[in-house]
Amino acid sequence: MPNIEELIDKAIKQSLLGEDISALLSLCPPQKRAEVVFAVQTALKLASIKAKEVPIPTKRKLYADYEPATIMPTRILAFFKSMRVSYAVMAAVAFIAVAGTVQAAMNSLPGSKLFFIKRNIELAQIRLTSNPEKRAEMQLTFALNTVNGAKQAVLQNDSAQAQAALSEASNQTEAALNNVKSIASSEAVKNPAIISNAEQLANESSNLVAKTDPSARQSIQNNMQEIKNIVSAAVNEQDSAKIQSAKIDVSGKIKTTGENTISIDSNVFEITSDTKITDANGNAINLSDLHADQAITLTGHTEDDKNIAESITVLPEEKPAAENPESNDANQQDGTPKASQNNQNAQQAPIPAKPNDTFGGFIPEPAVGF
Amino acid sequence: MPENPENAEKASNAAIIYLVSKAKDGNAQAFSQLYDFYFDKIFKFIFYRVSHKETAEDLCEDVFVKAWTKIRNVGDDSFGGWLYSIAKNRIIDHYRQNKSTVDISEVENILEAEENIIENANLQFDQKILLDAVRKLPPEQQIVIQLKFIEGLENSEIAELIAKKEGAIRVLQHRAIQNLQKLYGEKNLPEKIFKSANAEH
Repeated sequence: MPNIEELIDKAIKQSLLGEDISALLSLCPPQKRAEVVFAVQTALKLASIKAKEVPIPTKRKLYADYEPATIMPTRILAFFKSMRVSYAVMAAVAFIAVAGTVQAAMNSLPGSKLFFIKRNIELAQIRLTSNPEKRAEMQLTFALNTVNGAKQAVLQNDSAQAQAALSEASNQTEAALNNVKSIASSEAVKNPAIISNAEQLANESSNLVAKTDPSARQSIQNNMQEIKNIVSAAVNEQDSAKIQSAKIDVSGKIKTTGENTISIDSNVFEITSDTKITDANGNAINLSDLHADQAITLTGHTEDDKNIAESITVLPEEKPAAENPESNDANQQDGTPKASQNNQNAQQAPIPAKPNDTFGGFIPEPAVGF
Repeated sequence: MPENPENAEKASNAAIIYLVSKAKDGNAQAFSQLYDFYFDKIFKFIFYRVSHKETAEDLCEDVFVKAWTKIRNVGDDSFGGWLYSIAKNRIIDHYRQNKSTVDISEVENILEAEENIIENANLQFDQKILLDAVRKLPPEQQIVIQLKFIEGLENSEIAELIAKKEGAIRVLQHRAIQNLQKLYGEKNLPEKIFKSANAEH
């Protein structure tokens, strides 16, 4: 059964058309019948109110002078339909037309009408590349292609196209160099090819625009110089970090000795002909004089991921001492060269001796006056 | 055999849907038939709100030009309501363009143009009472009553015009009538109608 709103609506519609509504009323619950009847009566009364006369308008059919905005594709479709060509053939024709245009665009020179298609495809490729290094390389390549294309465009006797090509080349060079600049301090250091490509682009582009736009040339050269400065600063910083991390200064018990190596915990140190080994009294000794469980201090450096020992000093034999929890340093427990190096000063401070086990294989420096 | 009005309406709706779909394919003849079918209704709607024949004609032509150029944007079954919406917006634009002579705050209430629509001179006494009651209804209910019973729009057209669903229009209509019943009163109804309705069932 329809709800009361639908019932009233239907009853009104029928009564306005002069129809009998008794059949509808029979569908209606008795307590609602009066409401439906009132609604019908009100609707008829409202509809009987005379509206103002409306003058007879003149129809001009102005729309006939216009065309629906999207009528052309419809007509093309209708043409193919009338030719009894299947959708597959229509799709193939459309594909060939589009592919042909794209191919023509990809071969177009900067400043030509189809170049914007090529440029948009390139921009889409750049946007889709998430790796900043690859993105910079891609941008440099595209910019270099544009510069080369602009050279060809300049040779064609069309001053408007040449001007547009030069402008495009200059803009793309600026964009590519700016992008390289933004990653120069990190990514470019890892891949020097980016810097050499950027330099090549900067040179070719600045030569191209030298005569027509000296300010653009200056800007390109300044950009390139900034990139070089950034890279040089980043390289210096990296070298300095390398030197710092190369220092080793460690104390501990020898775990094993080899032909040219000794190990303290899990760290292996190479002994070279330059390594100075001395006993507790400062006398020079040989590697063969060293043995497992002997306490030593070792200084050295890292080279090609190898720990090279420069000097090894055998420590005097330890004596029993009172426990001192404060000296239980995590860096010493760790036993890694880098950790020890950070705590170098702390190790030199007077530390009371304590049982070896609590230091995880390492022993503290002997206390002053102990 | 007399034609069933409901079937006639369905047939008429189906014909409009067919013409709209043809017009969307660029068939000018189909649009011409739609133009002939709707022109008087749209003209009347505009004329009531601008009260000037030539202006109403101009605006009406604008509506159909816009409808023709944008016809692919409309759903097949909502063409009438869409035309009314274009007309409403065109009227608002018209008043905005002439804002030096029109109070702009009145433009937004373009659908409430009752004083331009009703021939007050010839109103009967009970029609006057009923209209007074209608004027006391909430604005949305007044608009639905006016558009449906005095201007003769379909529910679907009103729905499109005031951006509501058809179901909401039926509810508004029902509430308006309930309110009228309170304001206008059952005493004004001919007693025999109740008697006959209750006697039959």
